[in-house]
Order: sequence, then C-alpha cells, then structure tokens
Amino acid sequence: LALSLLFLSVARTTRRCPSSFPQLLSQLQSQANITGDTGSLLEPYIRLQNLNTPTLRAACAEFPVTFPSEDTLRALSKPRFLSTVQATLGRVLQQLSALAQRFPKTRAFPELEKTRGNVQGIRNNVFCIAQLLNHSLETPKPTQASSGASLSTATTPSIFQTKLDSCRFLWGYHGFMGSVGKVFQEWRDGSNRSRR
Amino acid sequence: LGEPFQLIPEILTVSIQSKLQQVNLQWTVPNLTHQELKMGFQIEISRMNASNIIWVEDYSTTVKRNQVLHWNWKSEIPLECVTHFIRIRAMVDDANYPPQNSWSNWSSWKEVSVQVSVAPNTLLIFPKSKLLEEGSNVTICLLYGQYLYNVSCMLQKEPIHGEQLDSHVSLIKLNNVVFHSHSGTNIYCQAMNATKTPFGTVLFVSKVLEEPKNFSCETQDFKTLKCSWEPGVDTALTWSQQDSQNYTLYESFSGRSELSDHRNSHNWKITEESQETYNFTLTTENNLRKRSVNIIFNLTHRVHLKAPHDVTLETVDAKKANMTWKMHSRGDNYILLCQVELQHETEVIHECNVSVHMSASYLFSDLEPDTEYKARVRCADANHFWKWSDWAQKAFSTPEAAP
Repeated sequence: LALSLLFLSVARTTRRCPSSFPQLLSQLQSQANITGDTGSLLEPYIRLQNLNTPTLRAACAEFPVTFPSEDTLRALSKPRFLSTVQATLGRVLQQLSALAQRFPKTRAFPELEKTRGNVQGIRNNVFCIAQLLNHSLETPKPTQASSGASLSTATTPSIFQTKLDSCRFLWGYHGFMGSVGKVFQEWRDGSNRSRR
Repeated sequence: LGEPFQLIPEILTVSIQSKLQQVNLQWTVPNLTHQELKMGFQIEISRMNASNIIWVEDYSTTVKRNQVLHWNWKSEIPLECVTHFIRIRAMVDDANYPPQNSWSNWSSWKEVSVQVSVAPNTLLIFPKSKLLEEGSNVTICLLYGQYLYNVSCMLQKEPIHGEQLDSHVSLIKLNNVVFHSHSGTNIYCQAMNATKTPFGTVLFVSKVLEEPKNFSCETQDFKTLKCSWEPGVDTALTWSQQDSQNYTLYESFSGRSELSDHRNSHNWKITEESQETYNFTLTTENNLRKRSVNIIFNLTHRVHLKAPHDVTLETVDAKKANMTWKMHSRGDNYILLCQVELQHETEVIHECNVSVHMSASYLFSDLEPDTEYKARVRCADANHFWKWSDWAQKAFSTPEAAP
C-alpha cells in the first residue's frame, strides 16, 4: 500500500511517465482500489454531515448518481475505456472542488483534499498509459450512462438536498472506481497470460 | 364641535423577505393638513384569518406630506407556510393639531402570503436552512401534499413532533437549540404515499460569539504595537453558512481601523506622528453577533523590552565575577530596572534588582572557588513597569583559589 501511495504522489505532482506498462497498470489498479474504498471519502463524509442514520444512509444509497457501469466499461475498447475514465474523473474533480468550496479553512475536510490528490494522480497515470499505448485521450461521446458524475442543479436545491445529492454522488464515484479497478485487473491478467 | 378631520393611513405595499421571515409595510397618510405632524400608528397582524390577531404594535413618528413610511415585522413562523393579514390605523399626537382621543378607522386588511405549490406526493419544509445561535428558538413548518399521511420527523436520530396548524400545515417548535456539528443539524421527515423521501432541512446552530479576553498591546521597539487577545471559540460553520469571526482594531485618536489577518493577534504600525495615548476598540463579528472590548493606554506604559544582549562574565578572582550586559533602548537617559540572578546547580543562590541605563554591570562576590555558576539577567522599564524582558544568561566557572 505504501508503495502505491508513493506512486500516487509522484505521478500526481509531475507528469514524468514511468516507461513500464506493467508497473503503470499495477499502480493504476492499486490507485483504483484505494479510491474505490468507501472508507476513503464516503464514510467520513456521512459522519461529518450527520447522515449516519438508517433513513438518511438509505436515502443516500437508494439513488446513487449514475456512473458508467462495470459492464459498460468492460465492453469498451482500451482507448475508449481510458478516455471514458479520464473524462469521468475530470468531472469528478469538478464536483469535489465544488464540494470543497463549502468548507471554510478552519473546518477542513482532509479526506476530501486527499481524494482530490488521488484522483489527479490517477488521471496523470491514465494519461501516461494512453501515451504508452499510443492512444489519444479524446473526449468520449457519453456512453449509455457515462454522463454521471454531475449533480442535477435544475432549481437551487436546499442544503439538505445538496448534502444528500453529494452523498449519492460519492456513492456512485466509489462504485465507479471499483469497476475501473476490476477492468485494470483484467488488463493485467490478460497481459500476464499473453506473456506466458 | 365635531371630532377633527380623520387622517386614515393608506397601505401602499406589503412585501415579504422569506429568508428573513420578514414582512415589510409601506404606507402614506393622504390629505395631511399640515406640512408635518407627529402621529402615532397602530399596526395589527393576524394569522390564517382576519380575526386571529397575533400581533399589535404601536409606532410613533413625524409624518411629512406625501411621505412614504416604513415598518417591518419578523414572523417566528416561516411565511411560506401560513397566510397573514395586516392593517393600520392612526392618531395625530401633535401640539399644533386639535387633540384626538380616538384612533382613525382601520385601513383595509392586506393579505401577506407566499405562493407555494405542493405536489400531492411531496412535503415541503421551511425554512430550507437556518443559521441561528445556540440557545435560540426556531419554528419549522411542514406543508403536506394532499395524498400524504402518517408524517414522522426526526432531528438527527431523535423523533420530534409537531402541532397541526390546519389540515396541510404543521409546526415543529424547537426551543433552546443546541450546537450539534459544524455541518449543521439535519431535520428530516418521511410520510406514507410520498414519492421521494426523505424531505429535510438543516439547522446551522452557531456557537455564541465570545467577547475577546485579555486584550492588550505592547511594544518592543516603539515602531510596532503587538496587540493580542484570546479569541474564544471559532464559530465557523460549513456549507458557506458562516466563516470564522473576524477581528477589527479601531484606534480612536488616529481614526485608523485595521482588519486583522489572525484570530488572536495584530501588529499595529506606530507612525511618526503617532500620539502617546492609544484608545483601541477590538471588535469581533460573525453573521449573527458583534462584540467589542476597549483599552486605553500610554505607549510608554506598555514597553516589553527585548532580552539583554552582549552578556559578558569576567571573573575578577576566585570569589568575584563581574557581569556586563547591553539593552536595546531609547537612549541613555532612559532608566531600566534589571533583575539579576545567580544559579548554582539550578538553585537560585542570589537575586537582586538594579536600576541601570543602556549598558550595565553587576559584581557577584562571595563566590566559591573552582565552582560552576550560571548568571542571568532580564530588564523592564523602570518608570512604568509592564513586563520583564526574556532572560539572557551566561554560564561561568570561578578559578581555583590561589595557593
């Protein structure tokens, strides 16, 4: 775990790309697993926002913001998969930044800041792996449910509604990262088999 | 002689500021017989119907011809939830006008309501969010869609109960609210037949802003005044409801005002033409409250000198040693009080106060030969003692006694 966190920070700060595909793949997979863990952001958020009651927790989980599903991601070609992950995480960063605005300096939410760093690190590595594979990261057409990662802002929602919507967004985000981790795992298994 | 000509006020506008739960009234007094008159007004507010009077207030002012008059009232119930009605009457109370012993007729009732539509399967809660101080009271209201029943509400994990105002409105009165978390206290409700649950609101209960304690200022160099205070609890809340309270220093003789960048201190530049006496007001403010404290002092009474420097120890013989030191000071005729201490193995074996100028010395005698000592010195303004400087110290050893 420590190794992957080290990579997280290295990749995050500078865009020097490791040249080894297996190393990048392993790193991306562990990054995805870390960020897929709800303990990294959703659970602290639920506690901080006092949503830790059966009713509110259920309300959060019942209608998660839709992200591209695992099947959708698995069915994509490698270039399209990388572009979809890159674009979706771009929107995730925007949402996390908007959420961070709601916390004054003296009431910082450290897990949120850490997650923003991790997501940026993943995006850096996705850029690197696309470079290694000579894929260009074009902005993908929205897949069946890829538009996720954005909160509806038809009318000005109340803060209570925004609290819940942010919770649903984080629920969807963790699910998405878990799916991404699995697809990268399958890439690794595939590349291991082809090397035998 | 009949009753003098009646001046009946005429309501111009009634408007609502929902967020403040405030009703704003504007009116005029047509046909004013004088250029200006002292008048008394009585304003009545009723709730739900014109006969249910809940508020009566008298208001006196001088009225000029064609003047538009203003008055406002804060409702403890969110105005979205219930209709109110308002009317006004008047009485002249002016020496230049025949005495009146009765009010004018009332103006007509004006309705005060917010257009809110509630879908049959939903429930609306007002206020949508509320910032309030710990210990205050708040009334929350629920507007039910017509298909809803069995409505239950929770304050975080505790059930709370409302009182029915009518078939589709109920009120939840919370008294003496308690601070729960910087992210607010969630109040949410569920109902049978509701399309989407839960419906909720967030109460942002702020800690009460405290008066700054131990506010004081001092100078080390007559160039800067270092002011400090104990800020008390930080009342910042999340979701952009309230930043940390700010602190502003205002000095009345110079008229200067500066917002501090820190919660508990501020450096105030002493300008050339600065006065000797300072009258500081430190004001702290958040969205709910403002508090101030004040101090007046003479600059020369608040000198906190820097520690002595260039401390030297010269052993005269096995039993005597002479210590010298220097002070950053305003001039040689400036008298300082210094405290000298001698320690042997951490025990203070000698201590005394001496009055000195910028450079000074002190002779330790009756020392033990071939012994280690530590000497230290600190100083303060002799004329107006404020604080000791930090210590300056030096270790030394006496030589062996001559055979």
